[in-house]
Amino acid sequence: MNPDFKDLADDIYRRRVLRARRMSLGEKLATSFELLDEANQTMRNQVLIQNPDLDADLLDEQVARLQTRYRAISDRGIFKQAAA
Amino acid sequence: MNSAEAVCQVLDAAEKAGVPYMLTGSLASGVWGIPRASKDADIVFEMAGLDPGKITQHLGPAFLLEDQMSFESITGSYRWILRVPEISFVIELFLLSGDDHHRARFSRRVQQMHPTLMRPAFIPTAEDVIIQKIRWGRDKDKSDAMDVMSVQGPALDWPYIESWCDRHGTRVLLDQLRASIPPDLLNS
Repeated sequence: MNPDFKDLADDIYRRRVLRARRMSLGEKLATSFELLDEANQTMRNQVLIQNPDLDADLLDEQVARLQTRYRAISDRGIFKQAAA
Repeated sequence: MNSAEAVCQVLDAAEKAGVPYMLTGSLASGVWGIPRASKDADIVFEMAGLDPGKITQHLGPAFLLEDQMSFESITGSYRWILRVPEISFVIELFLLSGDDHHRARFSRRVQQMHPTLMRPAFIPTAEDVIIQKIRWGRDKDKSDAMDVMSVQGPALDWPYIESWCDRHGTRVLLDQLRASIPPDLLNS
């Protein structure tokens, strides 16, 4: 990496870290939950935009299918199906 | 319902069932490091047998437990998926395995009051979050581990982290990640 870019990247990262250090543990957990809800709502909205006629049950089903696919990618061989 | 309320209900259910637990995954790394967006919440439970029904029997109809469980080969952990369809929220339920570090991580967990959950909750220590994240070693895990190292800086118990990474054969990755962090963040 170009040394100038590295300094810039370090500076941006440093600001993020210092901001996190100023937050209480409770504030950070609250932020994590907010981000989680936003991510899930965004996924629901995306499915609805592509399929505006879906009823609530089909929407839940479609989103669940997407989440299963994302999880399979994220697991990347770490988790395997096990017999129930 | 939102994700915090859903997690709160699961923790209440675990307590009703007398099952010890701790929050892990991105929620725990976000508490010690930098909060980030995630798609789910992870909770580890210590209980005998492979029956998450012991916990889920105390949950209402808003929760849906998937039949299929999965197995993680590195540490021998079993996992179930619990859904809250109305908010498209997924909670991954892990059974505490016999893995030495998982046992140590669980026994060292700390209880903190979390206003969002309106209750105290157990989470692993910052050191144990780093060790586990480095062990899995996916890109997002490495990034989470670096964030915890950077935010906690000199407060970390490095000999403890190094000893487990030596045992897991992940010391090279630990050293690489540590070297990539601006030194002033690690030292002050």
